[in-house]
Amino acid sequence: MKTHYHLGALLLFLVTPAAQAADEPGTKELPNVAAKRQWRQPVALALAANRWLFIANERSGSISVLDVESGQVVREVQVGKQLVDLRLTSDIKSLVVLDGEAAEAILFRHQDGDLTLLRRFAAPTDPRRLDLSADGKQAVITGRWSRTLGILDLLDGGLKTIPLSFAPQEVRLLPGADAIAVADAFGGRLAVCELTAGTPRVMRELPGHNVRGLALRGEQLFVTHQVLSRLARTTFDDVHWGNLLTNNVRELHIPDLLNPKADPVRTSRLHQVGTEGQGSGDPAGVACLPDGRLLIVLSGTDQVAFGPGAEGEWRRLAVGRRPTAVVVSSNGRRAYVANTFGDSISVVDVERLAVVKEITLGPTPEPDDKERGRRLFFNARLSHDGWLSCHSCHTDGHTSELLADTHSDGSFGTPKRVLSLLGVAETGPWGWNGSFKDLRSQIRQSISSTMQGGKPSDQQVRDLEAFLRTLPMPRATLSQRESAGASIRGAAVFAEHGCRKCHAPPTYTTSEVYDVGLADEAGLRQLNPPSLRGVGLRSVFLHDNRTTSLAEAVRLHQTKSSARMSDKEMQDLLTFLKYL
Amino acid sequence: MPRLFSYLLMLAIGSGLILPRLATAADEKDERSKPAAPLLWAIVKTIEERHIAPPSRQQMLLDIGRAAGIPSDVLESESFKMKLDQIKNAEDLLALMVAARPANKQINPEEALRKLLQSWPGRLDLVSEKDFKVVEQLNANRYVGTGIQVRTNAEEKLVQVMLAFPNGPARKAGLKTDDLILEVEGISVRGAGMIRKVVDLLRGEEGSTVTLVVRQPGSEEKRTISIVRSVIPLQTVFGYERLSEESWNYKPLADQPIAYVHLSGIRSSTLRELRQLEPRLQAQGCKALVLDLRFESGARLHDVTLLADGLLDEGPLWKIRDRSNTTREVRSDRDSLFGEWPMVVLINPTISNTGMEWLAAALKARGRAVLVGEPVESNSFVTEHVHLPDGLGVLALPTSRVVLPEQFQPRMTNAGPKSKWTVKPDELVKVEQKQRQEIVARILAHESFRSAQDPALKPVEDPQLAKALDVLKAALKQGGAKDK
Repeated sequence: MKTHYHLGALLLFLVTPAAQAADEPGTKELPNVAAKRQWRQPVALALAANRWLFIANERSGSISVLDVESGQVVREVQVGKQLVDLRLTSDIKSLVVLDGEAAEAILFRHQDGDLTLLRRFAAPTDPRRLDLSADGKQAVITGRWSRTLGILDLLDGGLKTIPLSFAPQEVRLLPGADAIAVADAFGGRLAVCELTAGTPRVMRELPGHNVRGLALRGEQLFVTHQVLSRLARTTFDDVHWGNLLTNNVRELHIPDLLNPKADPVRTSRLHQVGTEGQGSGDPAGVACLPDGRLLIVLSGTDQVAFGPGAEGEWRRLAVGRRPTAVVVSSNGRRAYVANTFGDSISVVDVERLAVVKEITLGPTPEPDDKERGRRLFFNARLSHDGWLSCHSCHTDGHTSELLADTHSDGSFGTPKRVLSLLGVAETGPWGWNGSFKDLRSQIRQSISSTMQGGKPSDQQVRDLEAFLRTLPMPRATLSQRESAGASIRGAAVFAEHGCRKCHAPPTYTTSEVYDVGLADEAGLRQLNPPSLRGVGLRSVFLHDNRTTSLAEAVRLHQTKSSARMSDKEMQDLLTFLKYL
Repeated sequence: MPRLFSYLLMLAIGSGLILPRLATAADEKDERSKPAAPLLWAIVKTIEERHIAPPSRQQMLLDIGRAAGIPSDVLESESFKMKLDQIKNAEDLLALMVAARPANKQINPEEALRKLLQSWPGRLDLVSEKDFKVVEQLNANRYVGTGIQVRTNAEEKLVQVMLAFPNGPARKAGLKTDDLILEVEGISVRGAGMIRKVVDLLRGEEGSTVTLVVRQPGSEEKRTISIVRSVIPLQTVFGYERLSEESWNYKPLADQPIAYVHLSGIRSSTLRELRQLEPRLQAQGCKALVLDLRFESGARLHDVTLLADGLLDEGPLWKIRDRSNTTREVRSDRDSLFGEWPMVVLINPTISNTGMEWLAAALKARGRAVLVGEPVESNSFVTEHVHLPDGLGVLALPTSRVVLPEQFQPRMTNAGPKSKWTVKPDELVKVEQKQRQEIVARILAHESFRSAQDPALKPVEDPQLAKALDVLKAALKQGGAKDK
C-alpha cells in the first residue's frame, strides 16, 4: 500500500517512467561487450538529440551506443537474450527495449548516451515490436505467436493484452486518435485497437503481405509490404516485369483507417518501389524525410530507396548487408541504417544521396553454413533482378499464407498456398505433389524456377538446407494444460477416424501422397499432406485456400470418417489440433 | 490491320509460314510427300488431343486429301472414307495420299498447309521452333535484335529500312529510315528476294555486334554502321501525341484533366508500363482516362488476365471452359490502377478475336468503364501454343473458351449455345473505313515516329475519341458537383 501511495504521488509531478523509477532500488551495472567477438545483427534504432544512436542487437541481446559525432561505438551493454526493438520516450529520458526470447520489456534511464537499467517488465509471449505513448507512460507491444497486443503500463508494470486473430508484428500508435495500428507478421491484416479502452476497434485486410515497416506523417500512415499475385506465374516474364511480386509502400489515410464505414484501401495510394532491372525486394523500415519523400530500406537487395519523385520514380543507394531499420536526424540530413547481416550502421548523407561511412558494431566470427544459409534465405539477389527472396513468400521462415502459381507442382494455372518452412526438415517429401524427395532439390527448384534466379551453386544449396534445418516446428496455439480434457478426447477422434494414416505423429504428415477427393485445376489429385503442427496458427486451409474454417477443411476431406463426425467430436478434434 | 507487332513478326519470321521440310522437298512425287506426312499426322493428333472444338479425324484427313490435290470424287467415295478410318500413323497417311493423288498435280505445299490450318476452327497457325522463340520474346517484350523494320524496295532491288525504332540500338548507332542495305556482316545482300537472308543475318544473341553497309536512296555515299544487338524495349502503352523520341503528351485537350492511353498490344510488360505511367499522369493532374484498345494486335489470355486484374478491383472477370466442359471462374484481386477515375474504353471491329474484347467486356460488365465505338465480335477461343513432337514446330490452336457474363452471350439456338458473341459499345459511334484508316495512320505515325516531319502525325478527325472526351467531361463535371 505504501508503495502504491508513493507511486501515485510521484505521478502528479513527474512525466516519464524513467524519472519516476529513478529512486527505486535495483539499478545495475551492465557489462560492456563491445570487444566481444559475436554476431550482433542490429534490427532497431533510436536516435537521441541527433547524437546518440541506440542500436538493438537481436543475436547478441546487447545494445550498442553509437556517438554519431565521432562515429564510434562508445559502449555495448549486454541487457538480454534477443533484442527485437527499442524506443525512446519523446523527452529522450527513457529507453524501452524489447527482449523477444525473454519476453521482457526493459526500461532504462538515459542521459547523454549513458543507460541505467531501471526495471524489467513481463511482455506478451514472443514480443516483436513496440511503440510508446506520447506521454511515455505506456508501451504497446506485439506478441507474435501469442497473437496478442500488449498494453504495458511502464509505471506499475501492469500488462493488459488484447487477443488478435492473427500473429502481429509492426505496431504504431496513431497520435491524437487514441488508437493503435497493428500489422500482420505474415499476411496483410491490419487491426486498429483503442489504447485507453484496450479493445479492438476495426480490422482491415490490406492487399499485400510481409509488412515490415510503418511510418507516420500527419494523417498518412505508410506501410511497406509486398504484393504477390496468384494470377501471375513464376515464369521469367512475370518475374521480370514485376507481375508476380511487387515491393511497395502504401499510403493510408488515417481517418479512413479508423472509420469502420470507410474503405481505406480505396482511398490509399500505392507506390511501387521496384521496377524491371531493379526489383527492390523485401522493403522493410521506412522513415519520412522533411522534404516530403520517404526513405525505405530494401532488406533483400542491400539498398535504401528515396522517393517517390515527381513522376513516381525511386532513387536507390547501396548500403550494408540486409538493412532492416532506419532513423533520420531531425533536420533530415542524415539517415542511419541498421545492416542486420552486416553487423554495421550505414551513415547516409540524404542530400548527396551517398553513404558517408559504414560503422562496424564489433568483431564478428566467421559465418558457418547455417549463418551463410540464413543470409541467402533473406537475399533477394538470389532472384532475377532482385524482386524476391525466400523470405518474400516464406515470411521469416513461416508463410504468407498466400497462393502462388509456381511450377513446383508441375503445372501453371494451379496456384497453391505457400507452405510454412517451420520444421521443414522433418516434413519430407516436399512440394504439394510430393515430387521433391530431398530438400535440396526443392531448394534448387525454388531458386532457379520460382525465383528465376539461375542455377544456385552446390554450396548455396547446402547452406540454405543447413539454415532450413534450424527452423523449429511451429508453436501450438494451446498448451496441453489449457486443452486437457477436450484434447485427449480429440486425440481419440483423430485416431478413430483414421486421420493418422496421412497425418502421423510426431510431424503429423507422412511421406506418401493421397487422394482425399480434392483436385487442382490441372486435375492433380494425389496431394502431399501438409504437417498439422501449428495448424491452429493458420487462417486458410487446403491447397488452394478454399476455406478459412478448420472444421470445414476437415469436412472437405472426402473420407468416409470425416463425413460421419458428430459436432461434439469435431469440437474435440479442433481443440486437439490447436494443441499440435 | 498493319500493326507494329505484326511488322515485327514479319521482320522476325520473314514471310509467313516456315516449313523447312516441305520447302526443301525434291520434285519427285513420293519425295515431296514424305516429309509432310509426319508433320500432318502430328497436327491431326495434336488437334484431336488439345483443340476445344476439334473437327472429326475423318474430316481433317479429307481436308488434307483435298489440299494434297486428291479429286473430290475419290475423296467422297465410301471406299476412300473406309481407308481413312484405317489410318493409324504417318506411314499409313503417306501411303494413302501417295496412292490416291494424280501424278500430274502440282501444289505449293506451304500454301496448301496454310490454307488447311486456316480452314479449321480457330484459325490455326504453325511456326518453327526457332521462330517460336522470337514469338515468345515478343510476347514477353524481351525481343533481342537491332530494332528495325525492313521491306524490299522493288525499284532498287534492295532491302530497305522502313523504321528504326525510337530508342532502339540501330537508331542509336545512326541507321536511318529509308536506308538501303547493301551488306550485312561483309556479305552482299544486293538483289531481289534477299529479305529473309537479311533478317537471318540481323538476328543474333544479346550483346553481339552486327555490321551493316547502307546508303540513302539517291545517294552514293556508303555508311558502315555497327549495331550491338540488345533487348528492344517495345512500348505497348502510348500517349496521345509524341513530343520527342522520349516524351509524350497524354492529354488530348490541354484544358481538361483527361489522359489518353493507347495500347498497341498487351504483353507481359503492359501492366508494368501502366503502373509506371499512373504516377506520371497523377502528377499532371489527370483525373480521367481514355483507354484506346482500337487497332490492337492481339494478346495472350494470361497477359489480358493480368491487365484486367490490374484495372479492376476484386470481383469476377470471366469463366474459362475447357475440353472436358468444366468451367472455372477467373477473378481479379483487390486494388486497381487509376482508382476511382472515370474511364472510357475505345473499341472497334479491328480487335475482334484478339483477346482484347475480353478486357473490354470485363471492364463494361463490372461497371468500370463506358465503352465507346463499334461492336466487337469474339469467337471466344483461347489460343495456346503446343509443341509438336520431334521438333516439327509449334502449333497455335484454341484449347479453351472464354465465357463472359450473360449480357454478352448470344441467345441459345436450336443447335445449342452459339460460341460467338458480341461486345456492344455503350455509346455507338460509327466511322467510315476511310476515316478509320486515317485514325490508325495517325496513331501509327506517332508510335513508330519515323520522322518529326511525317505528315501522318497531323491531327485527324476521330469522332470516337471526341465522344469519349465528352463522356468523361460530363463524368468529371458530375463528380465535381458531387464533391461540392
